[in-house]
This record gives sequence, C-alpha cells and structure tokens, in this order.
Amino acid sequence: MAENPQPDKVFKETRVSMVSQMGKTEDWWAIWLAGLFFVAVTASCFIWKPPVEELPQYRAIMNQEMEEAGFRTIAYTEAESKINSIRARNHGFTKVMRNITERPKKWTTNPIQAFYMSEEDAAAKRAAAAGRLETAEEKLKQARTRAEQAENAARTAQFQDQQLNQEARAAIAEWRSVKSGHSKAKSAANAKAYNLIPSLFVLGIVMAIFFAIGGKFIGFNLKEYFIGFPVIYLLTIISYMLGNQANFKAIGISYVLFAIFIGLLIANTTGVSKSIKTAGQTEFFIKTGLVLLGARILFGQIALIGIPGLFVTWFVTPVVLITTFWFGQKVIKMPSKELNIVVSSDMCVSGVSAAIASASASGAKKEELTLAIGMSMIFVAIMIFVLPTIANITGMHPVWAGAWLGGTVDNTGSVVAAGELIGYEAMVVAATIKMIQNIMIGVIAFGVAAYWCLKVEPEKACKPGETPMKLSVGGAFFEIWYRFPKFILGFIGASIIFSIMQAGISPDWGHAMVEEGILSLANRYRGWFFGLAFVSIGLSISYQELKEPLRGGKPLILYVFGQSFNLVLTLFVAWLMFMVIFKDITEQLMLGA
Amino acid sequence: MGNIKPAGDGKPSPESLFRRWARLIIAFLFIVLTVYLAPNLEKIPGVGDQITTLRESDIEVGAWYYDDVEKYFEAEKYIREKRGLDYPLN
Repeated sequence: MAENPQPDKVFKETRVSMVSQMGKTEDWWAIWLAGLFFVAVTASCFIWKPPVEELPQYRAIMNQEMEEAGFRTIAYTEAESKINSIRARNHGFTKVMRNITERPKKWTTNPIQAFYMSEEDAAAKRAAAAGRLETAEEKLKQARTRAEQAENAARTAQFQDQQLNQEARAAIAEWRSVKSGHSKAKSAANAKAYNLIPSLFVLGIVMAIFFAIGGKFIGFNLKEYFIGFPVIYLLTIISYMLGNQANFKAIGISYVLFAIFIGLLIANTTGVSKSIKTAGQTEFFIKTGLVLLGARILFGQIALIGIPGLFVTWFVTPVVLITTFWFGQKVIKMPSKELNIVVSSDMCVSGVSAAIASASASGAKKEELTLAIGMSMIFVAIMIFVLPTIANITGMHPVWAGAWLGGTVDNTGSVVAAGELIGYEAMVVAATIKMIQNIMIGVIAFGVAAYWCLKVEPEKACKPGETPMKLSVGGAFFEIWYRFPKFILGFIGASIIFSIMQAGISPDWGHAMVEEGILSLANRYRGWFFGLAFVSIGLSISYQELKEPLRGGKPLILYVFGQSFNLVLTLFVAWLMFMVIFKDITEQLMLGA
Repeated sequence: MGNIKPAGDGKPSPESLFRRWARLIIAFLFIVLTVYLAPNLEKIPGVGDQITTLRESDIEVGAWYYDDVEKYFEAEKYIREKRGLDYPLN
C-alpha cells in the first residue's frame, strides 16, 4: 500500500555548503577541468609562441598601403596572408595537442577512408588533382601579372586617377579570388597518407584520465569508469565516422543524431553494463564542454553587421522565445516547463547549442533534450532546401534572404548551406546573423537558470497548493546563488575572459594566439566531449521514456507554432532593417557583388 | 539536466537474450544499409542537385556552432572588408 508522504520530510531541502559543493559537484568540477584545460593550453601557446613579434610590421605595411592607395593592393594582400599564417596552433606542444584531436575524415563509399589512407591512395589522389593544380597555377600567374600591371599604372599616377584605381582594384580582386581557388587546388594536390588510429588511441587515454580527475572527487567508481569509457569513446568515434559520410554531411545528418541513435539502440536491445553506466557521465561531459564553448562567445563580434543585425537577432529572438514559451504554457499547456523551454530555445535561438545550454540551465530530462534535438534536426533538413527555394523563386534580395535564413534555420552549418543555395552574399549574411545569435546563448542560459532557480524551483520546493515565499532582494540573491547551476558561471566567465583576451594586445595578436591557438584547441576537445555526451544520452534512454513527452503531439505543435512565428517575424524585421531603414548597410554588403 | 543519471537507466526489454541481440544486429544492419545507400541521395529528383552542390562545397552542414563552420570565417572576413571594419586595426 502506498504510504502518504509526510509533507515536512518530502518537501524539505537539505542544503549543502558551498565549499562542499565546490569540491564534489559536477558543476564545479566542469569549471575546474575546463579551467585546467585553458591554463594548460594557454601556457603551451605562450611557451611555443608563434612569431607574433612580426605582426606589427605586416600590419604597418597594410596600413601604409591602404593609406597610400585607398584599396587593398598586392603588398597589402601578401602582408595579410602573412598575418593569417601566424597561428599558435601550428607550434610545439600546442600542435601536438591539436593533432591528436583529429576527427574521422569525410568519406564517400569506403568508411575505412575515415581513418586511414595508404600512400598509394594518396598518390592517386595527388595525381588526379595535379591537372587542376597546373591549370590553377597558370591562372594565378596570369591574374598576378594583370594585377601588377594595373596596380603599377595606378601607382605611377600616385593613385589620383580614379579610372586607373578602379581598374587596379578590379584586377587585384580577381587575383585574390583566383588565389583562393589555387589554395584549394594546391591542398587537393598535396593529399597525404594518414592513419588516425594511433592519435585516436592517445586521445581516448587523455580524455579518460581528464574526466577521471574530476570523477575521483565527485565519487565515480573509477575501476568501473575505466572499463566502460572505451565503449562510450568507441561509439563516439563510430558516430563521427557515420556523420562524415559525404551525403549525410551534405544534408546535415551529423554525428549528434548517430550518437543518440546508436546509444538508444544498444540501451533498448541488449541493455548496458554497470561499467558503461558509470562511464556515461552525460552531465559532466556536457557541462565541461559548455564551459569550453563559453570561451567562443566573443562579445566583440556582435556588432559585426551593425544595428540591423543586432535587431534581427537580439530583438526578434527573445520575442519569439518568450512568445513560444508562453504559448506552450498557457495555450497548449505543455506538461513540462523544462521541455517547453528546451524546444523553444532550440527552435528560436540556435538549435543544438541553445538546447544543450537551456536543458542544462533548467535541469531538463535527457529525453526532453533528445526530443528537442531530434525535432530540430528533422525540420532543419527540410528548411535548408525549402527556404532557399522560396527565396530564389520570389527573387528576394540576397541580404534580406540571408538575414531571414540566419535568424530562422537552427544550426550554423545548415544556415551556411541554405545561404550557399541562394548565393555568396546571402551565405555571408546568414552565417554572420547566426553567429550573433549563437553568442546569445550565454544570455539565454543565464536568464533560464535565473528564472528557474527563482521561480520554477521554489514552486517545486513548496508544499502542494502553497504559494512560494515572497523573497526580499537579499533573499532572492541568496536563493539565486544557491540554486544557480554553477557551471554557467564558468561558461560566462570563459566568455568574458576570452573576449577581453581576444581584444587584448591587438586584434592580430588575438587572432594568432587566442582564436587560432587556445580557442582552436577548445573547439576540438569540446566536439569530442559533446560526442561522448550524446552517446551517453542515447545509452540512458528507454523508448518508453522517449514516448512520454511526445504524448499528444504537444512538442510538435509547439515547434511548428514557434517556427512559423519566427519565420514571419524574422522575414518582416529583416525586410524592415535591411531593405528600409538601413539600406546603406545592405548596399555596403553588396558593393562589388 | 538535473535529472540525468548515468547511462543505462533505460531498462532492456524483457525479451530473451537471443532476441535482444538479434534486434541489435538487425538495427546495425539497417544502419549499414542506409550508409551503403547514402550516395544515392543525390539521385532524388528536386533536391539531388542541391545535395551535390552542398557535398562539393564541403560545408559542415551538421555543425551546430559557428566556429565549427570554416565558411563562417570567410563570411566574417567578407563582412569586415565590406564594412571597412578591419582597417586600421592597430
């Protein structure tokens, strides 16, 4: 017979001291481990420093050329290439740490090529690309000669003749474009043999030890963990391999879907052993990955496309998010607030990244996150073909169309793909708008966490029917601090630190040391951590649990409502901003197109 | 995800060991078949050409964060150039 719960026991919370939390919880250990990672990588980038002292001299050449000519000359372009080639990730131990994170490569019909290519196969590839390289080299030579002639003519006139300047500008732009094609041909003609097995083996050991450090304090059974980890890791590798099949990759079916699907299959057929359960630390992997992700939220980039870009993202997105969440709660009465916020933010902010961040911030269940990600990926696969078709048929302006795609299609890769199907300018605008939206996830995660710990969680902690205690300002602050998912502090802290570092000494230094050094490594490791997390999610869900939130089709209704509203509002606001109010920015973006 | 527990909460079905393994193997064979058939996606009328374009462009379509997409950096450079945001930087 079911016992009646004793209210004072059931709803009473046991508070744990902050010091204890800092040493024993996943939230804090996600911060410590990510911090350890950043310290190690930063130290490596400084010890094996690229020649950053050369940066000012190249920048001086660029500035002088721009001052003199008023456009990008040949010397300017060459100095710029030198700056771009100075990267911390290509030096010393930083290079070693990056090389071991190599993911399975793209393949078409032979999956072994994801891991291994023999010298004979590489030679065949080189031979096949040799003709293309030869043609590209000839083209480059001719384009360079034309650019030099045009620039010399303009220089002789001391850049005072507008006609000659215009001709030089056009010839140099053509040379730059041919140069980029030449680089691609050169890289194909330099195909090298590879074998990823040893590096994958080393990476597995590194990651197993990395998470075991935190696991020891959190209280993992380390013996079980070390037995189970290789299985989770192997499934992650298989997921990456499947997601890199050329055609799956082209339609956006990524490792995320395969990781969850494979995990689900195993959990719901043969079941999983105790050691795999111990090793599948979903939350720990996700939170550590999210802190690393925070470093990529660089606030200096949000103004890249000006006020219209900010408006399309930072105004429309919160409006759609709040409206969709309200619709879910009040109109269709979603059974779970957590599912509501995860689907809403996945759909209107930035897909998987926002879903993970809001799921972690609200304490959503793993099947709720899975459902949101699954729905989003299915809709994305449709939207990347349908939206460009609509834009092309109706003859939408590329900048308007790009802003529309950037604000509505869920994941960055899919946004870029959809933009590419319209044209270069649309792709460029779409990618930039999506990046600004990506940066928003820090604010969204913070907002969701604050709302949950102040409003939702206290309601749950009350006796049924009782109104939560009204909090004073001080009390509210304490309440937020106590309940707040602490890893978000690491997430936001990383964002602030790296935003400052990137802009620190100079943008060139920031590019060479931060973007192409520390953050480049954080990106690689983060990808693997999330891979481990998605496999672990799949391994921990039963079909029954997955069916539960789908009951009544409410998540689907929520997604369709929110996305329809998003499509209409973004279409209107993007038109208003880029085609009516800030036409000058649109003209700037189309200049020379 | 406060409610997430270590992997394996999902209980295996109460079927016999043989049937469970058989289901797993069939599902994996299905994945293998899907992978084998994947190159034919380009033959689908209507979207086949678009898939070919995307495959050849080498865009990381499934990538979900901007720094995983190489083309993003090309886009950022283009925007900076067009908007005159990269000169002078120092």
